[in-house]
Amino acid sequence: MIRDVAAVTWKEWRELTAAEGWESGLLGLVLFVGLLGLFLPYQVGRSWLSAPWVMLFWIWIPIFLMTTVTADTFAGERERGTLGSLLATRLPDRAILAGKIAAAVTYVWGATLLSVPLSLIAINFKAPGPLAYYTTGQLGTVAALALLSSIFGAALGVLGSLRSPTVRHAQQTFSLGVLVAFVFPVFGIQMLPAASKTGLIQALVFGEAGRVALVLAAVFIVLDVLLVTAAMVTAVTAVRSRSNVAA
Amino acid sequence: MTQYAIQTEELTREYSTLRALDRLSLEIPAGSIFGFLGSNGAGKTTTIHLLLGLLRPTAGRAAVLGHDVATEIDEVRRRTGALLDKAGLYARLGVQDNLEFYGRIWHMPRRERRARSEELLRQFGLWDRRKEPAGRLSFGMKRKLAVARALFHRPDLVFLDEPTAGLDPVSAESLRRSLVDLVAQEGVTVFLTTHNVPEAGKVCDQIGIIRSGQLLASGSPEELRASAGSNRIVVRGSGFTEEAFTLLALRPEVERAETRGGTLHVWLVPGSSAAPIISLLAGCGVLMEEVVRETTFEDAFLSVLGAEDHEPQTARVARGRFGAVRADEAFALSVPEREGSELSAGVA
Ligand SMILES: Nc1ncnc2c1ncn2[C@@H]1O[C@H](COP(=O)(O)OP(=O)(O)O)[C@@H](O)[C@H]1O
Ligand SMILES: [Mg+2]
Repeated sequence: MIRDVAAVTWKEWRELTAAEGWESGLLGLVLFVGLLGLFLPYQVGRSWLSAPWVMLFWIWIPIFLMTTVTADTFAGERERGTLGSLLATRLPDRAILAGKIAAAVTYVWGATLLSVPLSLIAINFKAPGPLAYYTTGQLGTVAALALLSSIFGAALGVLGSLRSPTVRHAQQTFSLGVLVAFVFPVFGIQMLPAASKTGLIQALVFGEAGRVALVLAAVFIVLDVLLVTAAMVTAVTAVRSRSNVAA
Repeated sequence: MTQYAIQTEELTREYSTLRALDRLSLEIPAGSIFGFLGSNGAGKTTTIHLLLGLLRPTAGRAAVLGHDVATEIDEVRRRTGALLDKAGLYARLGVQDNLEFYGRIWHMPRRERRARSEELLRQFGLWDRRKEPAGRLSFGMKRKLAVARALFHRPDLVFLDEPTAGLDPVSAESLRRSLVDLVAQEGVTVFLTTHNVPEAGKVCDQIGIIRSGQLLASGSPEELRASAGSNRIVVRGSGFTEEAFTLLALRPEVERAETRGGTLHVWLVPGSSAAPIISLLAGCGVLMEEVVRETTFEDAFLSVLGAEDHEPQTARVARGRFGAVRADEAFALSVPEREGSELSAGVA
């Protein structure tokens, strides 16, 4: 099974970085790393390293790159006529799904990690003085949160692409989803009673970063487990029902 | 049961109102090249999809390499290779990487993958282009690469859905030759579909003729030829006048007659004698240099189909806003792939 997943992941990576069509992929990657690694930390300055609300960036920005990467996974294969042949191979459904999720996670998470050293350069450039750097704990937190949110985005994106007839359709659905996911919390916060609203904002602005990170991580672990289980279970039921040939 | 590479019993598949495959019962011995011959829409692709578990049968059973496709499809897919109607190459991946991926899928060790891809790419004349993206190959080269990919992991049985469709005659012949050589070397059983009659007669040792989902005849090309009876006279000579044709048309045993580049072909009702026809031709001034009585595989095919309706069956072709749409295009979205599998659901 591990080798099956690895085979699919290998293929996905090859396609993501293929010379043909790499221009658009590279552009997306450069924009992403430029935003998360240079522009935002430069704007925010030294508090980029310590403010709890910055963690929302590390979680949120990778989702944008994720939508472009995952939209293609199944819808692209369907559109280009390669899905049938892939399904005729010995690969189990679960391995195909898991391999595509794994490829999206490693690609986006890798790009996020690439932004970490860049952000240090941006911060030190903006605010000269004593060298600004991440502690091991902060680094671990950023890496862990980015990984958890990448798994979330990848599982959701791959399942969405699975249900879309075309890449375009998948992209439109994802844009809508991202918009709703953005607008909803913003309005949600407005709706909250005044006391909880200030409490939440205080926690995000002045709170203890470690505690905020723990809460965020807990939320994402639950979401990840639910989504990945959902993905694998759909595939398993499918495999089982495949053998009950209609008489 | 295992001596047959493929065995089906009353295999049937219906799409809403259309019966695409109608009680197909077949036994294909291991080691043969089986040709499934039929016009567009006859049910060839449907059969392959059923045998690979990409579609579920409405009724009937099938076993591939001794494994029931309903219960042991993983085992079937492990031991077979396939070139489906959509070749399904990864256009952005390199030529060699397309093979490499399949080698990984079948857990071939790295060294074997290397050796095998060099062997096949050389055989199909693609070695010099191994680094190029597959999307840049010509149509014929893509077809060859897809055949190489289907054979890459040395399957016991390979399905080839119209491997030469759309190729020019030279490329088609070169692909056929490579294929026949490989099959001889590796002893793989081949299930290929084609609508090209001479191709089936040349390449296959067993043939099934299918029309509108029904198997009309099966056997070796020789058997099919023999069962059609020797019913054609070929006359080389000159002086094939209007009058000669008119007189031929009046004879009850003559089915049809036509000239083809200096030769006259006369098809007779099976079992009738040629002598009266020859004397009739002599009587109206035809100069005969050579008279041969023969049956080609093509004749056999037409006699099985019934000469009057060997035209392609245009089965319920969907019509789009801009006129006729090819059946495959209209169904591109709804073609079930691994029916019942989540990976192909949610689109219809
Ligand atoms: N998904 C589908 N829905 C409805 N009809 C289909 C579908 N796929 C194929 N058919 C019909 O089934 C018949 C057999 O098709 P097919 O097996 O593709 O023929 P062939 O491969 O011999 O050209 C055709 O009439 C075709 O139009
Ligand atoms: Mg077909």
